[in-house]
Amino acid sequence: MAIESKVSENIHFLLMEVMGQVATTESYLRTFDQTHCLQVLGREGYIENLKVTVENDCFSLILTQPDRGQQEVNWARAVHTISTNLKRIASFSVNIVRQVEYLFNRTLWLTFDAHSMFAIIENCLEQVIPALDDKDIGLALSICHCEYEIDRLYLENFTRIMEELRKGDSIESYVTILFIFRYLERIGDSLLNIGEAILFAILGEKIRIRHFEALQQTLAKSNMDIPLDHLSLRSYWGTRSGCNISRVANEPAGVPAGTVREAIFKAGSLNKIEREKENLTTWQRLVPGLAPKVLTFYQEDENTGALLVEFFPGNNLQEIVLGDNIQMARNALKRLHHLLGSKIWPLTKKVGAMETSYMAQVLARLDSILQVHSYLRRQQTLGDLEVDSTSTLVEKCLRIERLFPAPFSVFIHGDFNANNIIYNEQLDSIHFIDVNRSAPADYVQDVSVYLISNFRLPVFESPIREQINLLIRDFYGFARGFAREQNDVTFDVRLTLALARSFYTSTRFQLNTDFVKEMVLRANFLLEKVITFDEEQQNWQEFSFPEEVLYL
Amino acid sequence: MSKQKFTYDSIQDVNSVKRYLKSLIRSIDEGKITLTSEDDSIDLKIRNLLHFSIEARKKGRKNRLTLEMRWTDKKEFPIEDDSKPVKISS
Repeated sequence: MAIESKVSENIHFLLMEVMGQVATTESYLRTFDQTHCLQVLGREGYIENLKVTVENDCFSLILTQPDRGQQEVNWARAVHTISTNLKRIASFSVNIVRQVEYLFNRTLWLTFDAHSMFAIIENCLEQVIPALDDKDIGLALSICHCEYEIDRLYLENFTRIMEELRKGDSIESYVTILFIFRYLERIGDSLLNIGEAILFAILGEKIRIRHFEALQQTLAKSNMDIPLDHLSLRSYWGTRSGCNISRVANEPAGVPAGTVREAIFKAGSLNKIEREKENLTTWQRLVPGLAPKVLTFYQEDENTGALLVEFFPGNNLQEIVLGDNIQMARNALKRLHHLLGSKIWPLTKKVGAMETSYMAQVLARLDSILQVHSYLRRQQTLGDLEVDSTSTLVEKCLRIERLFPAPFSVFIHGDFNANNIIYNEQLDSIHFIDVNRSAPADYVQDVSVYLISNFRLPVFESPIREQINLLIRDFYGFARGFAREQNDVTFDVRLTLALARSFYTSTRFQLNTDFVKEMVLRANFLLEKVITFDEEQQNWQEFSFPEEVLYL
Repeated sequence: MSKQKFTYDSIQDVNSVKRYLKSLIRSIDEGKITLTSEDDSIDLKIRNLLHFSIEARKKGRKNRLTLEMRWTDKKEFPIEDDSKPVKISS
């Protein structure tokens, strides 16, 4: 038998067993007939076996035939998740049955309505196979929604139990009843996982139900009215922004290129989403077309929000730097230099001292850096020489940094990593994405973040590393040139501090220990250089940034 | 046998490296190098006779110069007391 049909058949069997388990559990709680109890306990082993069989088959389906299509792989992943959660539901049933022996006051139990919860659960389980087989988004969503309903009923019962407990009678029985409802509530969580797994099988992307609903709302509010069965969804999981970011499009198979309508959907904390929206509007005003247009904003509740924004085709600069098209890399960089040096920076420049907080940012993150690595230096002495610990270095530089506010501010990107800059080769245009941290600030912050985002790419072999070094050199040269034009005499010392900050904080995202050590040592070196210069009371205008730290 | 270890690792410009080497020479002149790291501390008493080796390596663009000083602490010989207790008996 083909492995797919075997999996399909076994997941059917598993589902039927679990439905039986739930129904018998309910009967036992109604009749207290011991045979039901024994039935539930006796079926546990068989369910476990079935689940393991499905799991084995799903994995061999994924592993043994490499030419299998993505859809089948997604289906197998979803079925595996479903089987795990069905097994969990069976275990919760066993847990419930085991509670009955502590139910001293059974008449009391019968005054509670557990039937409504069981009815929802059973109804929900019945929809699993049709939803999966027919790829029915509506049914999948309705499975997910059961959880809300179960939670609501749980809360009602919970409130009543708490009130009864306050009276102080039949405490043991009430606590047992609470446990039973709690297990039912957890069955609801498993059903939600099952619903989300089916959505994954259909859409090919993991998406949380709340985000999916926000997506539906935002699409409905925008003029991108994509019917659910024409929705294509590609999520970006590599980001560390904490937001869920997906590319949505109406691209059913067979639609010719050019007619596809695409957008970026972002869901996350309201705070971040709102800031992003505001900054997108500001960028739109400053340099139209540079950052994506906001298509819709949707506030889900007081904590979460979602945005649908314009999608920019092209590659991000990180992809370009790592790619083998050096000409494209040069063109992109040239365009970027022009955009910053001749447009954004002069256009948004506001003269007036602008305090920076590079060292304060390191201090705030030292603990989280230490959680990942223990390379930060301790206080040491070597003979008659004192060596500062990393935190002492940072504290000393915190004081020095105050002496050198930026002479002017510009509107900066705020998270100027190479992968937040998109280059469209056909149009020879640069675009910014992820602008929630944009604000008027020292341009040196963007310069240093961009330089380090190139430096920290974990590629050590030539010729790619040489290409990275070249591109770093060009960008540094451009930034230094801009500083000279602007007569920014403290550029070198600010860049030194900002780079030290970027080196330290980059280590949180790296597990390659040698590379992390290299970055920490470079950061220590930069701060020591500033401190020694300060101690020797030299003229700060003569301080020169040690450019070699930028290259591997 | 107790084992103590101290490590210091850094990136420096040539001037700072010279500062560190000069400090080491001063310690050698004094006959003792003290190395501490927060609560741990190692005292190395320099002997007049020691192994001293220099190793240099070049591999592609990578260069390495290793200076090594190695010595064993003088053994403290227990002073033998041959005198036997005087026994006085009457």
